[in-house]
Amino acid sequence: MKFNLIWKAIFNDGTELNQFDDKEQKNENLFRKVLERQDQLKEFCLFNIITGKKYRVDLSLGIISIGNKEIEKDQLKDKPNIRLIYFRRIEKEFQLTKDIDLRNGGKIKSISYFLGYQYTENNTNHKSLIQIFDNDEIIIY
Amino acid sequence: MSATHVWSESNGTGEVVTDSITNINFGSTDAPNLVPANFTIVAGENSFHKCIRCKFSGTFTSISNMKFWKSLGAYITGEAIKFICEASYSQPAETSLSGGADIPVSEPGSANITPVSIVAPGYTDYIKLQEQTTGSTPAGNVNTKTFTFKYDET
Repeated sequence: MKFNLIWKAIFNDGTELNQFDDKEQKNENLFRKVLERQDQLKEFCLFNIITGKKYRVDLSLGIISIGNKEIEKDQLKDKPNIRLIYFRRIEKEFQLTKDIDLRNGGKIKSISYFLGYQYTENNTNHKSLIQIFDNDEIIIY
Repeated sequence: MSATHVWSESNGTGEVVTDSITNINFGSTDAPNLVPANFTIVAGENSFHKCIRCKFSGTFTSISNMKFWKSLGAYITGEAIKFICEASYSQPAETSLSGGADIPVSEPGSANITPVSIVAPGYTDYIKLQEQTTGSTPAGNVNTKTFTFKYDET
């Protein structure tokens, strides 16, 4: 399965990690590698390879942006506990009786991508999150 | 690249596992990929339990927040589908599914498939299903049901 939105992580030391090392999406770097360096993570981006749209989380400033437009800005400073939120949500459906629906676990109804951050302040968890669909529709939470 | 997901069914006393099943038809026998016309359910009786799991292979970091529900397909008179997710296998039988509740007919508010997360290739816990009927259930085929499975992956 080829993804329409793929990620890139940028760390404080300037190094970058791409989800895929090739256009064919055969050589994947697991997200686990980002989690292992979460405390050094500066930015995390999603690129829609079909439409060219870019989604970015700046973890040092608490900014979520789409293209050049900032849609969430928490003016974060000195929030060492800020954590990236990223996952894909896959929805599959199938009829019990239809063989074709069950192949590959069911027919994919939708794939969406959640991107954002959370941090704890005064014992309260703060979360900024967007859900992105393949067609660049977004839901802001 | 990503997780590869197929459905798996377990049957028999000693748990015979069949991966990549091609249907989840209910019937009056404990077998995968059964043909309902050959194993009809008599009105007033139950189907054998279906004991299925999701099998995840391939490369992924985690699978979590797994939800399973009946999204389409109206019940006919006296019909119900029972559901429970359990960690342990038990041989499917026609007896009423122990601990089973009506399967959700809309997206559950929280995950209803365990474990909470899967971090290496493997299976979910057992999703046990059973078609139940009553004496008032009319003869013939029931309506086709659509099920939805939703999960988060990194």
